Amino acid sequence: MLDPRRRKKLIRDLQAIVGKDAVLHTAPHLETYGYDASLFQAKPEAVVLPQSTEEVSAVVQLTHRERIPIVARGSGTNLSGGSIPAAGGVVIHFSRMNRILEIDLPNQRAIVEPGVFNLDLQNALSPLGYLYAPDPASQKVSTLGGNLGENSGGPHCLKYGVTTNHLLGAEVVLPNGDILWTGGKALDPPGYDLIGLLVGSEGTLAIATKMILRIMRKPEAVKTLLAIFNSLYDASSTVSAIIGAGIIPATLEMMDRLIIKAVEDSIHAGYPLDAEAVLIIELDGIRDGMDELAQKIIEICRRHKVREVREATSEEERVKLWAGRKGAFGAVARLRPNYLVSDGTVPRTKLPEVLSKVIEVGKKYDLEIGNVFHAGDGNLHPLILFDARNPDELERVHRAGSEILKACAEVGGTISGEHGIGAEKIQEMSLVFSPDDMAVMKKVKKAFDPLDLVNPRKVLEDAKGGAA
Amino acid sequence: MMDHGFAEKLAGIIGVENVFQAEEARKIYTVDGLIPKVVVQPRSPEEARQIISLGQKESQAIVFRGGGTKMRLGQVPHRMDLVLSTRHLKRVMDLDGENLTITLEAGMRLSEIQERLSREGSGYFIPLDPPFTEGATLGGILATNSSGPKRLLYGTARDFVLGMKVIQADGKITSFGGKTVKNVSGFDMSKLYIGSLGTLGMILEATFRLLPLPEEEKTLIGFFPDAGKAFKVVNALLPSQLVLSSMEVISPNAASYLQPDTMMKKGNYLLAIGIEGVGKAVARQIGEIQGIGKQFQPLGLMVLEGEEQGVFWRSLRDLTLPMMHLFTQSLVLKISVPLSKTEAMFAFVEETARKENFLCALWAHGGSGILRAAFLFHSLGEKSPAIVRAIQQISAQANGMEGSLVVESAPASIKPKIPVWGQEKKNGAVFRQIKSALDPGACFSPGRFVGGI
Repeated sequence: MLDPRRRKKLIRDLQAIVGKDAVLHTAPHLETYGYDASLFQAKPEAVVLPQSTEEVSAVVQLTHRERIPIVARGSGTNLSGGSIPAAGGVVIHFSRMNRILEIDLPNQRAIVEPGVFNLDLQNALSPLGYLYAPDPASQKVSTLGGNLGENSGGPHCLKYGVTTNHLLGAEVVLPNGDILWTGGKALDPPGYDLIGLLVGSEGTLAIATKMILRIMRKPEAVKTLLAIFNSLYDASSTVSAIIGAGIIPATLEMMDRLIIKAVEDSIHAGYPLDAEAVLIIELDGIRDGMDELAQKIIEICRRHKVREVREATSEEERVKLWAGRKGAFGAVARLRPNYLVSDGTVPRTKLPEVLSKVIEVGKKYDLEIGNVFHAGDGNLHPLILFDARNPDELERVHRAGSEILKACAEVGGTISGEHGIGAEKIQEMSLVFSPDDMAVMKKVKKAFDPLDLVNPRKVLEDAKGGAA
Repeated sequence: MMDHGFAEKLAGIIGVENVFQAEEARKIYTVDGLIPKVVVQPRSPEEARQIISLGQKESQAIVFRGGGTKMRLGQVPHRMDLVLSTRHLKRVMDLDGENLTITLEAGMRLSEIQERLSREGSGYFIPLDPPFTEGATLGGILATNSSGPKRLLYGTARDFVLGMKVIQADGKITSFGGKTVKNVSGFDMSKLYIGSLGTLGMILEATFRLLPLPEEEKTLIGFFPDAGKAFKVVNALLPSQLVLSSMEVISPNAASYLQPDTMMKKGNYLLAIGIEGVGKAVARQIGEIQGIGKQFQPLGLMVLEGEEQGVFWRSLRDLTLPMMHLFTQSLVLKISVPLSKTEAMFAFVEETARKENFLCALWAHGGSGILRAAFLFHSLGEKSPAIVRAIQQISAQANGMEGSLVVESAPASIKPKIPVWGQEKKNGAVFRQIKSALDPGACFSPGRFVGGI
């Protein structure tokens, strides 16, 4: 923390840039912006709410000059501690840079400020017949800038890809405050793929102030199925079998019994309470041939002992079905006050094996674990439920989480599919990267941010070795 | 000639039979008139990394080479001491059809692995259809970010490379990404190496996402008297909900190089549209597009399938091969503009060529905003100033449209006078920082890349 005199000066200097009402520095504010959706918390010196790229640049020039750390913040829905000001400093909050600047249908692009909520963009595009493919479950509140930092996916990423496949350009502020455009509305900009590097870099290399996104025409037809299983194993084997049969649905999501109960209690989506697992399978695209594909999928489910397959017969039913899936994380609050969600991702064919390992881990540490996840891309989300007021439980939770990640790495998977490394998984990076690999990434970090001021203590170990 | 001591050390690593010092052998590996002092063909990753490590210690400039199909890309190298060929590095490291992934060494030719994949299980493919079908290797395709017409549906390498192994300047073998479709652990380093022209490290191995082969594939070709009519169809299709795999607008000069040649030599502008997927969807879409096409009075419409279809698309992918064979001093430009400007840029390039009286073949990915223009010359002679002027005008026009221009191929003599990588942008400084961090000794391909890297 800064000494009071330096802190006062910092606040004055920030106020001179963004105006007095755009600098938050009282205790309740600092607490509010010092946490995110992870189990980490830290206190910043101040929070600024810039309204323009120039203001962001001026703030960063100031903090760079004064050697003060910064972290960019969207809605703080980050699940790995990526949004918290781990080293103190200034939180640059994008809530006031939330305009959709342009929707350009002839070029199939949208230009947005980073503070726009993902769902707000979807809702602006929908009446025009277009969509923005990355649709994370958090979309009601997560921002596009946050999506960029984490390379967010969503249930439709199986077919359409993740944020990095739909970001074509960005205006960014570099760690020294310089403003730079990279990419644009046109494809294949010459040079290194800075956009590709920045997406998923968790705000540790630069800060985006404008984004150029690819938008797409809505598919002509959509078919949503709910497949109900009596065993987790059968459900997860079905996932692999569908893809193995050469069918790539738009989405393939799984929920287990614990999650179903929580969701039904809160949202009443019509899920059967006595099922061990359900799959939500969605096909989209050209209408012709879709019925046959759906039939093929149903046959595969039957071969894996499905109890029942239901088809959403109206848009209303479809939305309700999805509300259940998208509200799952929130719904588990009914069961226990806290959760740790693991984000391990494995090759699809390893799903049954890893899921049974997750159950084993739950039994070993005497913890309830619910599973709701993107089965189609092997991205697990075991939700380890607990009460943070119980310190013993918290400790067991961390160990359980670590073991699950280890299991994922062991079958050729990775430790984070979409929630990021943040502060949470720095230790586990060595499960998937050698010291030589880490050294290269550190060189890249240093090339952008030699003073280590931009979201420090995230993703990579600090130079001194070991996590913060 | 290479310093004898260095060549001996190389032979010590990979065996004397894999070190080429004879002038005749080295000449084949010329890049922009520079002949390397020695060429090596390591037999394993371990040998490759030892060579790189040694090269760095002795400050040798190293250029990597796969099939040699795109060596004309980039500026004239500042130096080129050693060419490292990936000829022997072509193993299939892991083929996991059920998981839809494959891991391959860089020297594997795309055509070879596609053939093998088509016979695996129920049939798979890597969704890439870049130029130089026969010769291109995966390492080179990735290093140059090479792509083809089907990028409209499938995207490009960055959209389905899941992981990579790269040999660093210090000889260390590093691994990024993996086998999973979702992966945000650490930085997405693969993105950095794709399109980097081997300036940051040597791509040793890459893991690709596979797709199941589509049930059916058909092509509709429309013949039009002018580009305007062809683009009217394009503009009608772009906002539709139809799912096209490719959409190419081809000028008459370009079309004259297409196969099967009996159909193509008609002096017309062609619009070639590819559709693939389940049979019913393909049939319905072909019918619908024919209906749309007819509204714009085509001079002819035809549907291609089977072998003829394959021949057509291959000839389009490889269009520059017969051109370069006939016109050895040609230039090939790649122009990228926002989608809605494709038609205007197409017209601008044609107009520019007409003004200067250049023979120009022009073809465009109508749904991606990417055009290729080949200015065909037997010799440059006193045309050089006019060529330079034309390229500068097109580059300026592209920039004005918020796009870019890259000279994909040009005679070495003219390269120093033209903006090979288009107009330099502010990005250049960041590129140089990254280069400096990963290859501080400027060992890899010095001078060829954007910003003089």
